[in-house]
Order: sequence, then structure tokens, then C-alpha cells
Amino acid sequence: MHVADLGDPSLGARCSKFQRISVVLLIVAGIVAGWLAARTVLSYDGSDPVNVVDVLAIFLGAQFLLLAGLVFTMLPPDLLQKIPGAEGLQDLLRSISPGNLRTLLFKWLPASVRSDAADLLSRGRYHHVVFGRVEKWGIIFSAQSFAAAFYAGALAGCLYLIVFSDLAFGWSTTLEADAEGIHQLTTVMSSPWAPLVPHAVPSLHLVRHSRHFRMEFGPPGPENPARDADPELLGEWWPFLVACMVFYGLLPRLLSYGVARWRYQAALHYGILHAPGVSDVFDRLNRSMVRTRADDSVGSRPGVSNEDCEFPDPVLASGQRHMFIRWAEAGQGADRFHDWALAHLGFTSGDVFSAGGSASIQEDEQTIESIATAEEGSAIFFVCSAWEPPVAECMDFLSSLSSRLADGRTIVILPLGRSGKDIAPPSPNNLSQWQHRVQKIGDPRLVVKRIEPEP
Amino acid sequence: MSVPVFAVVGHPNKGKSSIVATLAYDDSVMIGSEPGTTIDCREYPMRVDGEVLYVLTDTPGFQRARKALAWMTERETNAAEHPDIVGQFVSEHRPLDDFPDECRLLQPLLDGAGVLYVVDGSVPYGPEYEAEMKILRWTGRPSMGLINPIGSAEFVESWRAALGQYFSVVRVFDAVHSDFQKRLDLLSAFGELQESWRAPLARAVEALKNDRSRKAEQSARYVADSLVDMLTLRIEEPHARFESESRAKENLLKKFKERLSRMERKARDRVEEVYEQKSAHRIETELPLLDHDLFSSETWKIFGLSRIQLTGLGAVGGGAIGGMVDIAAGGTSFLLGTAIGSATGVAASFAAQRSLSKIKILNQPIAGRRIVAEPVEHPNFPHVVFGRARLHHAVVSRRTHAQRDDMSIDEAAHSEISALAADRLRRLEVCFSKIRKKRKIGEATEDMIELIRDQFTDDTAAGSS
Repeated sequence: MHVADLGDPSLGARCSKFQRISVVLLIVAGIVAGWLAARTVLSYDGSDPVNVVDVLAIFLGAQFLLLAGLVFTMLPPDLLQKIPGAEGLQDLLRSISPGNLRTLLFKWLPASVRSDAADLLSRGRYHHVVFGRVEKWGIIFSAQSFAAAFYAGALAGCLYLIVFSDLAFGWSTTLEADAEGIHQLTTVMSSPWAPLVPHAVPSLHLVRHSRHFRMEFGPPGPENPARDADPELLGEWWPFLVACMVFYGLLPRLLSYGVARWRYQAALHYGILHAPGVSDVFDRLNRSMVRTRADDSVGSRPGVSNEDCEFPDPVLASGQRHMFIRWAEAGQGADRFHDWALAHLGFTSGDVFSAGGSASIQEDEQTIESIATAEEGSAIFFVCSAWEPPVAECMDFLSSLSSRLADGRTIVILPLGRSGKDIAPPSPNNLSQWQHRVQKIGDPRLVVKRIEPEP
Repeated sequence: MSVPVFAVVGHPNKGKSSIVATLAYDDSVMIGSEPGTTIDCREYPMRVDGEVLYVLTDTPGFQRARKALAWMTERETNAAEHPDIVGQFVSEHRPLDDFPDECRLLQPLLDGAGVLYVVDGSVPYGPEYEAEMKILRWTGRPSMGLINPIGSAEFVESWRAALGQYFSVVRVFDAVHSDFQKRLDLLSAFGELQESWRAPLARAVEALKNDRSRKAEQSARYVADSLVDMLTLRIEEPHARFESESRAKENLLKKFKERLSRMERKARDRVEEVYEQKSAHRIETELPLLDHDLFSSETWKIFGLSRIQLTGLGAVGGGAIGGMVDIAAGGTSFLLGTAIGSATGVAASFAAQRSLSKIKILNQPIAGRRIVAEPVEHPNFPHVVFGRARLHHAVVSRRTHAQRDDMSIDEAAHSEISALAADRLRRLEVCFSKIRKKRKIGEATEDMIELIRDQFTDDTAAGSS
């Protein structure tokens, strides 16, 4: 199947690129931060050994706190609702997450990418139910990318210093801790890797002989053994520290990175499936497309406004017999027509002719001939059904008749309405369609008159 | 096999275009009270996945039928030649342009279209129609007389008698007010005019039915999405210290209401788009969102549940949770869990009936002072929104494309939709509750879509019966 080249990548593709770039930048930042942290914590100028307690507190203690925060952030909303104040705390943790560094990076991006991302974010905010979890897991995923990179950087920095510099380790704390207690703690901590790397478990001998006090006048002898200890012995802490960094630093972060990535993908998947418009796409793919409309957009004449047209009231001499033409048998039966004309128009009718309807074209022509040759001065009433539109045939007849009449004669068009079986004034709409049509002809002999209701 | 084509013909201004607009679901068809609104033939092909199943052709009305018939009669020798004479008439007069409308309307018939002759059943039969019907009979095409009562059906029977003499099938079809089923019935009847037309018309009817159910579902989806968005709407903004709290709260509440109204309007537009009623001008009151005692608004009284109903639903919800405790306790709690749960549910529903949204000021250590409008808790809120959406959908789905007046969503006409069945109300309440608590929103939304779709289908069917 041929897939058309759509030219510029879509908004989603551009924002996805932004996401990838920001994650890469966060990873770089994490590695640099980790490296610098390792250089700082493991800085050794030859006077005091590197304090193992400091290393563990910074790389592992903080890690446990942050991981606890992370687990809390990952809790599902159902569970959070049952813990008072949990939602607020989760919001707070999210707001201080390093994942928010993306917002800082955002400011340094090219304007086009910024505008794409802003567009996507505004859509996301509108459909917050769908995209809320994408945002949450997006932040967590970015944060875990940074954190995993931090530990990778720290580990690399640590190994570099161990390999290329002469480090001496000791342990020192103001807490009440003796060598046995510390040894017990390190043994417990080493249990995950003890079977694999036994020499990475500090011996009691090492713990006992690597304790030191910072004060230069610290007690010599057995209370401050590090001062007299063999420098080679003091360097033996490094396998334990590296193992700690790997097992309690890097691996949990890689795990949390994996979980965050998995949940982020799931949130994206959910977001894609529930995004507005997606159901329409599926609908289109799964159902037949029915179309009933016309292909073209225009094909008809726009409607004409039915405003009233003014026609002069014809001057009719009373008592005179006028002629009537009943178009398509409009009005009541011919026998009652005289009474009706007297009652509604105030004069009796003269000859009544028929045209249109069931009359033939020849009969229409005869009617025109008869009227044209009749006595001058009498008016011609053209009676028609108001509800029937003035078709061209009717207008042809009126034009033909008008052209045959002598000067001064008028054709009064009387569109008749109806009320039940009786004649009634036409409705304004019906009258107006006749008025407009007659006005379009522009013949001064043709006048449309509205019959008035009976008093 | 050639595609069935139906030419809608007749006297001017008798509702031909209205019939086409309704059957083609096309509001772009020009319908005017002035005769001669249609000057050219316009085709409306019915396509299913691109395949044309039938074509409706709107034509201009007869203008000089008697004259045309007179011309044809002069050349008549025997009945077998009638179609040829009609063809001869068109070919001779088209270049002369003396019968432009007759030539245009007869051409599709000469090309093989069926005849749908339209008359207005609200006005009396007149002799001027006879020439038109005779010409149509001369074409020899399968034909049907359609009585379109524009306004009243006063003369339907006299028309039926008159048309019966010229057309083998005569039907009454109100183009403006016909419901969906009647439109399908008419299409099926078109298929009966010629044996080879039956199958494509049957397929067309089936496709239209499926499309109708798709529209109900799509509308339900839009309404459900808007309900989810409206029920979970929460606005949070930074709060400047120099701005008074009451002023800030007032502004935020205003913004909150605007967002809710915008969400509702967006759903309305989408539903109208689904039913291709985009050009209809909607007249609807804004969703009334008062700050206190929402029961005082007429809309809330109409579409919302009564306090007793709400209390009942609150008790049902709370009781269900308490019931689970009882089950877990293996009956040793003597249904105490259910009782306590019900009482809590009732209390919660009363507590939530105070205002539209809680506006809070938060003092966050890092993010600073922020002002938050919490999602609407009022238990009646989703019911009112849904009630209004139901009424709108009922009006839109029942409206034909021949109707050109404003589309009034008049709350006074709420009787157009029946009360929700008790089980649907309970299920809906469960969905609302899950969405409010943001618990399994996806599943709750899907359940809600199903419920709304069924309700929409029932509402539309109720309008047909």
C-alpha cells in the first residue's frame, strides 16, 4: 500500500521528539551531576580518609527517602483517596520532582517546538481526565531517567577515583556506634551480593581498624585505630561501597526507570485510545461510511424575500359590467360567481371566461381574442387560486392578453384564498408570490389586487 | 446493473426540494416559498463506502405543462411511441430554450429515472395538474405519487383519488415532520417500483439504519465525554497576595462556570455535526449555574432529581458500600454496615447540595499561594446536564433537513423525553459517582456511553411512535 508523504511531521511526532530530546538532556545532566557528586563526596586530600558513613548517607540514605517519595507518587488515585492529605502530598512531591526540569529546558527550545509543546499541553489540560495520567507518568519517567543517570554517573565517578587515585576510607560518626554494630550493619547490607562477591563484604577486622576521629588530637591507640592502620587496609572498603552503589543505588533506579517507562507507555496507550476523536477514527474504520448529500455545494437559486409590493388600486366605475377570466377554474362554480363578485367587489360581473387548467391552448387564444375585441373601458379581472404559484404558462397568457388590449384597459389579478370551501382573502405569502412575479414582468397594465375580508 | 435514479418532479412550490432535503439528509438544499427556487437538476447520490446505491434528483417544477402536452399530442400516433415523442420534445426544445424547465426535468426520466411526482395535500386538486401527470405517464417510467401535506392533510383523500388514476403507487409523506422509520419505509417503497431496484434499496435502508445507530452512539460518546470533563473540572491558579480573597474567588467561580458552559456548548455542536444539522440555528438557554440552592432554578427542577430521589440514591450508594462490609463480616454485623453506609450516603448527599463548587485558597510551600475551584459536588448537577443533553439530542435526531426554522431547545417541552427508568438512573448514578471519585474513569465512561446510547435510541424511537 502506498503511503502518501505528509510533508512536515505531525504535532504528535514533533512533541514526541521534544520528549526524547528532553530525556536525553536529563540523562546527560544526571550523569554530570552524579559524577560531580562522586568527586565531591569522595574527595580525599590525604589528611582525613573518606568517611564511608558520608558516602552511604548521601548515595543511599537520600536514595531511600527519594524512593519512598517515588512510591508514594506512584500510588493509584483510589488508594490516595483513602489516606487523608495524601493527594496534597502527592501534588507537592510531583511539584518538586526533577522531572519538572523539563520546564526549564522548555525555555531554551526553538520557538516552533515551544509552540507545538504548548499546543499539546493546552489540549492535555482540556482533556485532563485522559491526559492527567500521561502528565503524571511523564514527570515520573523523566525523573527516573535523571535519577538512573545520576547513579550511573556517580558510579563511574567513584570507579574513576578508585582506579586513578589513592583513596583511603574510614568510618566516623558521632552516633553511639561500635565496630561490632557497624560490622553487623554492613554484613546485613552485603547480603544481596555476599554469595557472589564475598570480598565485597567488610570484615570485622576492617571495620575495627578503619574507625577514625577527625580531631587531630583524637585519642591515639585502640580508640582511633585508623591513624595507625595500614593504608592498604583502608582502601579495602571500595568493593563494598561500589556494590552498595550498584545494588542500592543504580539497580533500584533502573527498576524504577523501567516501571515508570512501562506506566508512561501504558498512560500514553490509554490516552491514545481515549483521546477525543480516536473513537471517530475507529468508528470510521469499522463501519460503513454512508453519504447521502449532494456532491456539489450550490445548485439552487437563493430564496427571494417576500416583502409586499405596492400596486395602485385600479379605478373602477361602479355599475359597469366587467369581464372575468377564471384561471384553472379558480373560485367557486360559475353560477355563483356573479353573486360573489357583487358581494366582494361591489359590482356585477359581465362575461366570465375560462382559461388555463383543463382548457386547451386554442381555447386560451380564443379567450384572448374575445376580450381584446370587446367594448373598451371595462376592466378585466383575472381570478386565480392564490395557493397555486404563478407558473410561466399563466404569465405567458397575461402577457399575450396585455399585448392585445387597447390603451387604458387594465388587467386586475385577483389571487383568491380559501376558507374551507368558501373564497377568502389570500394569505400574505401567497399574495406576495403573485405580486413579485407580476412585478418582474413590469407591465403597467397588470395590477394585483387583494380581496378584502367580508365586513 | 445500473443504479436506481429517482427524479422528484411536480408542480412548482409543492415541496419537491423538502422531500429531497429530508431523504438526502442535506440542509444545503434550497427551499423557498417563492416558486422556481430550483432552477437546475441536482443529484443526491446515496453512497455506502463510495458505492452508489441510488440517486435522488431534485428537478425544477413544470412551468408550461399544457403547452408541452399540446406539442406532444399533435405528434401522437400510438401509445407505444409516447416515450419517443417525449424524447423528441426534449431534443427539439432544449436548443430553443422555450421550455427550459420541462426539458431539464424530463431529461433524467429519459435517462431511465423513476418518477416521484410530488403534490401538496393541504390544497385542493386542480385541473392544471392533469397535463403534468399525462406527460409523466407518456415517459413510461415506473412512478409513484407522493402527497406531501404542507401544513394540513385536508385534501389528501381527493389527491389520492386523482393520483390513483395516473400512478400505480400513491403514498403520503410529510417531508418536514416525517420520522426516521417513515423515511425508510418510503425508500423501501421506491424499491418496489422496479424489480431490479429492490436489492439496492434494501441495502440502502440497512445502511441507513446502521448509520443511525452509529450516530446515536457517537452522540452518546460526545455527551459522556462532556459529562466526564464537566464532573472533573478543577481550576487552579496562582493567587496574587494583593488581590482580595473574595474577589479572587468570585473571578474564579465565574471562570469555572464559563468553562462548564463552553464544554456543554461544544458537546451540542458535535451532536449537531453528527446529525448533519450544522446550519440549524440553535436557541437554548445557558446552563443555569447559581451559587446557592440550585433547586431554585426552573431547569434544575425540570431535569434534576427531587431531594427525595437524591436522598434515595445517596442511601443506595452508601448502603452498597456498607453492604460489602456486612458481607466481609460474614453476617456478624447484623446489617449494621448497610445501615451506617445508607445514613452516611444520605448525609453526604445533603452536604453536597449547598453550592456549585468549593473555592479554596491553598498555601503550598513551594508553589506558593494558589486558588482552586474544586469539581462540582452537587448530586443533581450531572442529572441536569444529562437531562438537557437528552432533550437536545431528541430535538436534533427527530428534526428533518427540510425544517428551516430555528431549532428551539425549549425546556418547557421536556415532556418530549420520558423520565429515566429506575435501573438506568441507578446505573448512571454509579457511573457519576465513579467519575467524581476518579475511580476507573475509563470503565465508568464506557458504561455511561452504553447507557446514554440506549437512552438516546429510546428517545428517538419514542418520538417516532
